[in-house]
Amino acid sequence: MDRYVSDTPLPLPASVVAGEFDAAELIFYDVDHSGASFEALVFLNSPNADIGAPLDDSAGFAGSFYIFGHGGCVGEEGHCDVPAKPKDPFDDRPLHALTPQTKVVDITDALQHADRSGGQLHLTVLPVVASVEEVQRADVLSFSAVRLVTYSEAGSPAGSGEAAEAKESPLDSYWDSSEEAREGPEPVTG
Amino acid sequence: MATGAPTAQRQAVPVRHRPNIEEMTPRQVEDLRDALEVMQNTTDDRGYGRHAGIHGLPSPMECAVAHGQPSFLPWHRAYLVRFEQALRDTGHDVMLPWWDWTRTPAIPTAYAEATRRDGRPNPLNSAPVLPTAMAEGSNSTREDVRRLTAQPRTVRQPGRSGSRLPTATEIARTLEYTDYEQFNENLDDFHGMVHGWVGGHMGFIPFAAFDPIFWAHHCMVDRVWRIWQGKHPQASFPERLRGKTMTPFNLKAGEVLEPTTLGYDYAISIGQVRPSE
Repeated sequence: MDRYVSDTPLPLPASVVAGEFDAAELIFYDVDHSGASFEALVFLNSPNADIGAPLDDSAGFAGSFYIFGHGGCVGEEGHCDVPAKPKDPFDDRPLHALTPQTKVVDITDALQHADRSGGQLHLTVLPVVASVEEVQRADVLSFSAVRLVTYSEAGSPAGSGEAAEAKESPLDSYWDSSEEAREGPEPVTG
Repeated sequence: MATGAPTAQRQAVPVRHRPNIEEMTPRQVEDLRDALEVMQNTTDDRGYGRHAGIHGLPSPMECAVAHGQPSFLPWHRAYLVRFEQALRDTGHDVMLPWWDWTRTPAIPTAYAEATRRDGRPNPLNSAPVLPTAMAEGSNSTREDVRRLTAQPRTVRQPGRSGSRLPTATEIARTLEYTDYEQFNENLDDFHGMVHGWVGGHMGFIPFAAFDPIFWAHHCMVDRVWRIWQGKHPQASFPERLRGKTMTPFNLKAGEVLEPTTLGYDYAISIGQVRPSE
């Protein structure tokens, strides 16, 4: 996709609305990195944010992650197909080169400054590909889910929430107890 | 004088220093260019193409284990060490320089000049791409990559619209992380941003290491890791990674954690005089 705007907002627990967190992260799961290199700009509560928006609080800019792209597939058919899990337990080779990545964006400052009074958060992600002519959005962004995790001073997650998956079918948002927040989400079932 | 940590096989010896490219003397730059020129003119497995090709094309793309993963920093540290050893094998007493893109947000002059003072091509400006890499890349499903394969030598498009370099503030914040994996991931992202800013061959994994500025960029990344290690001496390195071999360099991740055991460190500037005979 060339732009992701959360159809379903991330629900915020009371502790986050009250500002009772010391750190906050957005965790993007199964991010594709097989194509172009791009920076994914993340905005909070700015559904209309677009290229050229200032990268500061005034536009709801929260942070970014960067994909150093593989530049497409140079092999024959099947060369770039990531094998389906589960892997043979006796196969100790490294994971396939195009195994999707997990990306973490620290949004602590942005979430502290964001309007949380409505108990929800809208997320916008813009992939920006450097171009010879002009700034371009491109159809390069793909991920399976994004989760907001907040942490208390002790370092343990204070809460987490998962937003809509990023492909075609939006999911219902939900909250969980977050113990496994750094381990990855449950399989998406829609 | 800093010395490398002694081992059973090696006594403590003075380490060598990787210099800041902006602080190198003209003579030091010329020595570096001489060494690189020899490597670029060598077509066997001691040559530049063989080492640059390890990162991406021709297949196998060994860096597959090194991007977006916790081994990003140790794999590239091992890569730099092996490349630097090959560079010194040319007979020139040189070390790889680092490019601080937070202080010099432009291609350093030593790399930007197309020619040397005597008119020869500047080997820091561009390097030949292995024909086997170009042939393989020409099969890419992406048109921009196929276009690159028409270039027999590396090209750059620095500072294109939509690209940017990490700021000193961003790197300072990255240095505040106390967890290795968070630090590694954050620095990996900023490193990719520099690849994208330089553009051309540097912008794509399959060809990035053919551009001579790749090495100065990665020395900066390695230096930031070195600074982080000094800043957080209590930070632990993931045990599960220590025994992993950084292929094809025959070095385990646990063996590259301390730069001085590898014989190098980072310096701001290096001046040398010899006592008169």
